[in-house]
This record gives sequence, C-alpha cells and structure tokens, in this order.
Amino acid sequence: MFALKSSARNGKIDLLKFLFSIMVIIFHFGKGLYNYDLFTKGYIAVEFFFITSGFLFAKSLAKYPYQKDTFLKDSTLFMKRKFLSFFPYHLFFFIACFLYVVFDQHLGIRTGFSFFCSTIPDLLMLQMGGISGLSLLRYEWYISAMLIVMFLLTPLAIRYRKAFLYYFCPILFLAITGWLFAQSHSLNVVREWTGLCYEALLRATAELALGCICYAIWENKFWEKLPKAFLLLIEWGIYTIVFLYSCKLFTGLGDFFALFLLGIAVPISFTDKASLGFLNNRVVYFLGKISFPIYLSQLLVIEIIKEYDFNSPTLHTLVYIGCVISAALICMLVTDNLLRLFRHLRTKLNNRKEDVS
Amino acid sequence: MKSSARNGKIDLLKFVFAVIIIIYHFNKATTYPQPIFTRGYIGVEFFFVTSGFLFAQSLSRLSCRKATLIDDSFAFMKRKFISLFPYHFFFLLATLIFCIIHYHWDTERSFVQIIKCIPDLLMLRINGISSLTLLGHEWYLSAMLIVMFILTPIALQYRSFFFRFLCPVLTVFCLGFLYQQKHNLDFVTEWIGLCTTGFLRGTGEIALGCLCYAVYDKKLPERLPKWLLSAIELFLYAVILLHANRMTTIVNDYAILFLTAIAVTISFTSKASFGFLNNRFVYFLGKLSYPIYLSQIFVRQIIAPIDFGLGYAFHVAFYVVCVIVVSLLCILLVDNLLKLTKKTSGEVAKINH
Repeated sequence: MFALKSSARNGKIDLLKFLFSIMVIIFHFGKGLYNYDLFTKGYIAVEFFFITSGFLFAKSLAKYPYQKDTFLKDSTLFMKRKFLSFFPYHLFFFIACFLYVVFDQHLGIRTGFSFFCSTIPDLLMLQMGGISGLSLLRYEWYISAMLIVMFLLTPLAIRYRKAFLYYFCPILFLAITGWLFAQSHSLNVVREWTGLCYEALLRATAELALGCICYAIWENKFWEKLPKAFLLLIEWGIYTIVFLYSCKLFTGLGDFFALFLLGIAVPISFTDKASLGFLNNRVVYFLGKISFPIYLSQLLVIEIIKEYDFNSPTLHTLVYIGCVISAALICMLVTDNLLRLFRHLRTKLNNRKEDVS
Repeated sequence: MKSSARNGKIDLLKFVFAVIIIIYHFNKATTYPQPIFTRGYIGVEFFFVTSGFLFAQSLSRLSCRKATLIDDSFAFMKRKFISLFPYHFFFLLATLIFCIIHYHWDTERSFVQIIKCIPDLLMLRINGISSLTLLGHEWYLSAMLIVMFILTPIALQYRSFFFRFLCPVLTVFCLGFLYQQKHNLDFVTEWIGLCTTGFLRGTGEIALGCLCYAVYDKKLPERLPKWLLSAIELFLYAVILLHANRMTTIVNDYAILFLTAIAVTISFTSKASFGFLNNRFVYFLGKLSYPIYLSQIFVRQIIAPIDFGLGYAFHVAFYVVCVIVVSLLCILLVDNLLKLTKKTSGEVAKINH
C-alpha cells in the first residue's frame, strides 16, 4: 500500500512546498505588522524552493540531449515552457494587484497608462533585472531571479551537462556562498545592489547550483546505499531543525548552515527509498499545487486586511492565512477554467481550419 | 637512487617544515620573550609548492580523452580527497569532543556546532564559511583541494596552455595582488572582495609548484653538476630556515617563496638525490608530517596553557613530542581501522559472490 510506483508523483515534495510556503507568508505577515517569534526567520523557506527548483531544473534538462544544430532552440523552448508554467497564476495576481493600485490610488487614464508601462518588467517576471514598478508583486523576486538565472544557465547545462553538474555548479555554489557570507552573514538579502546585479540573483545562482549538485548526488544513487530508517531520520530531523531555526530556535546555527542542511535533506526527499507512499494522493498533490498561488497572493491580501483591527495577533494571522488560501483557490478556479476554455477554443479552431483545408 | 625509489628527501623536508609550522602556531598561543620560528608560517609555502609540483606530476601521467574529461577529473579529485580524509576526520572528531568537554558546551550548542562542522568535514572552509576555529589551520587543505578542483579539468584538457600560460599568469597576478595587500604571507582568512587571502595564496603557490614541475620535466636542473645542485639546494633551505627563525631580514616572504620554488625543483631532481635518505624511517617521517599538521592546534589547546616553570625550550619540546605522540596514535588507530574496514568489505563481497 505504501510502495511508491516509480511513476507516482512525489507527494512528499508537494507537502513540503505547502508547509514552506505557509512559513514564508507568515514570515512576511509578521515582519510587516507584528514581531512575534513564529517564523521570524521564515525567509529560509525560500532556500528550500531554490534548491528544489535547481534539482528539478537539472532533472528536466536530462530530457534535452545536446545537439549542435538545435541546442539554442532547445534552450529557448525549455525556458518558454518554464515561463508559461508560471505565467497564468502570475497574470491573475498581476491584474489583481494592478487593479487594486489603480482603484486604491484613484489613478486616471494617463497615470494609469504610465503606471502600466512601469510594471511591464513585473508582468514579464523580469523585475530582478533591476527595474520594477509594482511593489505589490515584490515577493515575486524569487520567480524572477529563478527564471533569469535558469535562462543564463540552460545553454551551458545542455551543452556541457556533465561539466555543468560536476564542475561549474560546485564552483558557483562555493564562490557565491562565500561571497554572500562575507558580505552579510545572512541569506535574507534580496534587493541589495552589488554593483552588477541584485544579491538575490547571486543567492538564486548559488542555490540553484546547490540543487543541481543535489541532483548529481541523487543521480549517482548515493542515498540509496543507506537504510530507509536512517534516511528518514536524517531527512525529517533536518526539516525539523530548519523549522525550529525559522522560529528563532537554534539561533547559533546561521542561515548558511541551514542551507547546507537543506542541501542534504532535499535529495533524500527525492529518493525512492525514502518515500512515504501514503503522501502520494490527490490531496497532497493539490497542496503542492496551491503553494504557488499562496506565495503570489500574500502581499495583496496583507494590503487588504492589514487595516482591520482584530485585537489579537493570532486571530489576525489565522484570518490572513485563511484569506491567502481563499485567494489562492479563487485564482486556481478562475485561471484553470479559463485555460481549459482557451485550450478548448483553440482545439475547435484548429479542427475547423483542418476541415476547411 | 633507483629512478623508481620514493624521494626520501622530500619526506624529510615535509617533516621538518611541519615541525616548524607547529612551533610557529605554538608561539602564537604563548607569551615567551624569545621564541624560535616566529616566521614559521613560511613552511606552508613549501607545502603548497610541493603540492603543486606533485599535482602537475600526477596529472601528466594521466591520459585524458575529451569525452571522459569530467569523469577523469572527478575521479582524480575523489582520490585526492579520500587520501586526506581519514586523518582529517579523526582530528575533526577529536577536536569536537575536546571542545564539548573542555568548554562545557550544552546539548544545543554541541548539536549546532556539529552541524556547523559540515564545511570543515568536507574541507571547504576556505570559501569563507567555517565555524570551528580550532580547525583553522586546515585552511591549507581546503585551499589546496578547491584550487586543484578548479584547475584539474583545465590541466587535463589544455596541458600546454595550462603550463605555458595559465600557471605563469596565476602565479604572477595572485602573488602580486597579495603583495599589494600586505608585504608578507602571514594572512589567511581576510576577505579580499571575491575570495579569502588563503585561497589566493593557495592558487598562486600551487601554480608556482606546477611551473616547478614544468622546469623539472624539461630536465633543466640536470644540466648542472651534482655538487653544485646540492650546494644550491642546501644553501636555499638554510636561508629559508634562517628566515623562518627571523635570523635574517635580507629577503622578504615573497623572495623566500621563490627561493623555495627553486629548492623544491632541485629536491625532486634525481641528480641531486641523497640515496641514504631513501629508507622506510624517512618515508615514515613524511607520512607523519600530515597528522602532525592536523593535530597541532588540538594538542596546543591542552599543552600551551600549562605552566611547567621550566622555560620556553622545555615547553616547546614537550609540545612537539606530544604532537608526535598524538600523530602516531592517529596513524595507528586510523590505519588499522581502514585495514579492518577493507578486510570486512572484502569478505562481505566474497560472501555475496
């Protein structure tokens, strides 16, 4: 019953995505309004997302073997797919945030148009290039940084796959984390300008590289050599430590060491031997799917409910989480159905064209 | 000397320079008025240059195809890492246990410190992220491994470019930059914008060691008569030892570094060999130099604070003896454990067949 079919989706990763996204939204909520201890270092959850994205990035690129004539085209196609996978939910919240600002600040047609032009980098998820206009989507820095870094790394990763995984990624990871450590001793860096780019891009590069290293270790079946109980103990022990660290326990640990721990836990989570079959079900898969719109909706929801006085931080936080999840569900309902409708119409149109020809 | 005999001279020099370095570190923890080897850090230059030489020598024996470049590079570095790991792990463990007991760390602190040893465990501390200061001296291993990791594919794939262009450029620019920061070589962990000074020092000096190998490979020293080679070599090591003991200020650290490079090149030359040094005892001294280097700070923490009341000479001699004894214990324990592990895994493999 608990055996994992090799083709079954990894429910554990979906559950972790959901838990870490809740951690991040509570961190952002608490940072703005209250100073409670829960998830005061919740930014560490972003490290989990970057490492997992790096792992899946390296895994997806295995489907693109190098062919001299088409490798740039393959790179572009890969990035196009990646961009389109994020775009629908992102567009929903972009429109929602844009309209909120327009109505909240009573923008006229001219100012509204000017405002729209300034948000084009945000629309294209390029704000980490340095230009941004829509502060309500500022937490999308993670998506933007990830897409830009993947765009830079994809041709290299396809052309020199082995060198990328076993040579460039370790060097990138070591060099950049050393630099970040020397600069700020913390991973809570996003929009600090280094002279050439935002520190977030360096953070993304280092952690995506770590994710690729994790994939290389996983690919060599390193973790499969250890007994299952031991693997699960390490894995859940690490996640527990990271969760406690995010709540300001184990303060002596430091962000970078929490990052190293996640670099050990994530490949274990992807290992079949450490799988927990009971997590491979539709509910858990759905939790994984909702983690992305949860992340996108947080700032807009904060803007709306921050004015209300609930007289209790706990109640305020719970209402906030409830609103975020509701907003995420609405987003999924509207967007998924619109996409389905769009695909249906497109298929109908194509069929009609074929009939005519 | 048979051309296949191990170079006992290098083993003896490794031992001598290891002892100089540990005495230098011992002096830093005490306040005696006239210690010896106050510039003993210069011993590390010998180790870097020698490592660079041996690195280039090992790589030149590897034939490499483009298709397997990364696999070969990775395999080379894996062997290097594994060769250093057992003794390193022994002292990492010993240092952790010592800290927990000696400094009365509570459970949480001990647990956190164990996690924070991950970069130290993987010998990666020179990138700047490290925590256990009692393993600070392992910066040398970390710098050496990371630099070699970066250079190996380049050296394998573009051999001529590596020796004729890259190594000279790295030597000149890394050392030149370091000279501009500080006119001596006694710095390791200072951050210089992109990396630590220790990393740059390792890069420049390993590249210099590779150049020494290139000169050796061309058999340039062999053109000189043996007596002249030996005289130059002994003279250079005498100058280096005097400099380490602060008995001369004629030359600065960088000049000593270049003299070390010349001396090391001659030392590897078979024409300048001393056959009587090619024996098991001297080879063992060479082997001992590595655990001596690893154990120094751990033993220093125990021995240095003790006031024997018998003066500096006794204190330092006692310290050196303790370091040697601990190193011998390490070799005994670790080598036998490794032998046992190999035997057990061999037997298990036989049973499985």
